[in-house]
Amino acid sequence: MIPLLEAHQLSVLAGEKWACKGLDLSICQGEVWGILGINGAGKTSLLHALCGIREIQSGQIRLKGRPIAEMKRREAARIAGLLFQDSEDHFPSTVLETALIGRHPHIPPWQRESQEDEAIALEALSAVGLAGMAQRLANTLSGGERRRLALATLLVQDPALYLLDEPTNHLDLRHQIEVLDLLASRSAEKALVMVLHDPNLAERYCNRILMLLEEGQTMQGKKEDILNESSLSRLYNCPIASIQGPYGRIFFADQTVPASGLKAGCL
Amino acid sequence: MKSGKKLLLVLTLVAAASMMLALMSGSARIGWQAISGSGLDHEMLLHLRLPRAVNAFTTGALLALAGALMQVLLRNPLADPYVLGISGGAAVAALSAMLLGLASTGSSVGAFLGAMLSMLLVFGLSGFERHSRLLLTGIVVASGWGALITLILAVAPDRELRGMLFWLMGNLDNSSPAYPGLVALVLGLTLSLPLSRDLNILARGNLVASSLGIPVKRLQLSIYLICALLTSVAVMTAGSIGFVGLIVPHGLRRLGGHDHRILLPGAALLGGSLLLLADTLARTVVAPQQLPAGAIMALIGVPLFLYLLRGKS
Repeated sequence: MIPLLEAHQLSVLAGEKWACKGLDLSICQGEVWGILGINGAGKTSLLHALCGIREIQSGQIRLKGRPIAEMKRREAARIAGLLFQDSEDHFPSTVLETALIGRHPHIPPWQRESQEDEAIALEALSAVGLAGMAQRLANTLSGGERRRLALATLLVQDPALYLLDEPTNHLDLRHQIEVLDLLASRSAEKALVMVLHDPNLAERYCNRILMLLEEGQTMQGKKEDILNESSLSRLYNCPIASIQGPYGRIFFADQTVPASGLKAGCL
Repeated sequence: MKSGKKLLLVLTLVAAASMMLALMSGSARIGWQAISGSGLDHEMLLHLRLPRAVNAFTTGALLALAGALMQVLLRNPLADPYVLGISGGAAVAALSAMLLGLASTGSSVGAFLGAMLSMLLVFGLSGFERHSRLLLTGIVVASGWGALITLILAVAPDRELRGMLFWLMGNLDNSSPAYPGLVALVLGLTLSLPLSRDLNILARGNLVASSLGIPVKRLQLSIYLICALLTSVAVMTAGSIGFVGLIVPHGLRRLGGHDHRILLPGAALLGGSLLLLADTLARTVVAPQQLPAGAIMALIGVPLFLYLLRGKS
């Protein structure tokens, strides 16, 4: 099976720091990746680079075996779709109009959105719990509702590879789980890559982990091999402990342990 | 019928009505029958009122269309066609032509060249990488032009001063030919309408647009060039007329025209109608004396805009 996404010796700069240097990555259908890293590690920059909307410093990215640099943007958008960390709305538009923009890469340039496109958008809105809000103005929604609208737009785009930048931003606990359950339910025929700040969500939903360490170094592998107290303590530069919970380990910052062997500064 | 199409239909009727009103009003009473007849009334209708009405309509339409495009390009609902210093550049060139004693054709051509020069200057200095930088560069260049305008007015001989001030206030009384405006309007709509679905997405940010498959740089450059053309022709025809390019797209969005496939033609129709009505007022209120249409437009525009702003809060 051809991987949906391959990165070869990929180096990406995030501002003045390296997000990754010489990263080799291969993402296949059915995989759910969690990207972990401290604030400013370059998680967002890497995600943007992976779908071709950010310049890379060296290396190559392939989508379904084809170099992304040689693809038209529309083709790339049918394979890899991105949920942004935050959404901008400068101009008024309705919830349905916003969700419909996800169809853009599927509709030929000279055509309008069809009834079918509208049906797809309405279905996505109801999947994220926004049914009945189609005609509301998007800028009147709450932060969490907007987040789910952005996700609905991505569901409408229906790429093979979902790149999700902090998908649980602005969401309350119930909606965090609902949204991730919804994504997980579709992961068998897709691949998901999500930037997460909560290792517990990574433990519960991901089967692969990529950690962005200092100076562009990375660590990756199966969740069982990578996600543990010592790797997380190193990653966050802070003592992390865990207890057993119903969905695997539950990780937490452990302030009872003196930061021996670790640089202090996490408190 | 969908609400967008309904909106366009209403705006078309408004445009037709304002055109009729403009042709029928003036210091001389002229009836409809004069269109087919001959004689003085026929001449006046066809060679004086019609070209002026067409000029007023196309100028308003060009400015409103350019304003709608500029607002997406800068992602700022308060941008207008002049925000990047284009009217300042045009004014400096046109006033210099008047100062040199060139005929009105000279100042029209000067205005066009000045507008294009200003657009190129701003673009060359900033590019599209960050639209806040583009906006700031434009505003700084515009204030530079403002200083030059003041200097020209200060050294201009008295006999030129009145003409210069009228030019700056926006004026449709210079009997310039109607075809450049018409050509630019048709060209502007033909070029921008196919881009409107892309514009709907660009309005949400460069990165979002890029992730949904839009070649963002190419799109931005196209919008910029179309804007430059539309605004330059408008300034060439009527000097600098404010408010149409700001209020019309803004107001249409509030009326539900979020989709650029509705917003762009709608802005052209409404902008044209508004300036045509303003110009009709300008030449009839204290007839036979004529007021500058730009001033009337601003007088209508100020309360309208304040109303829109109040509605927002």
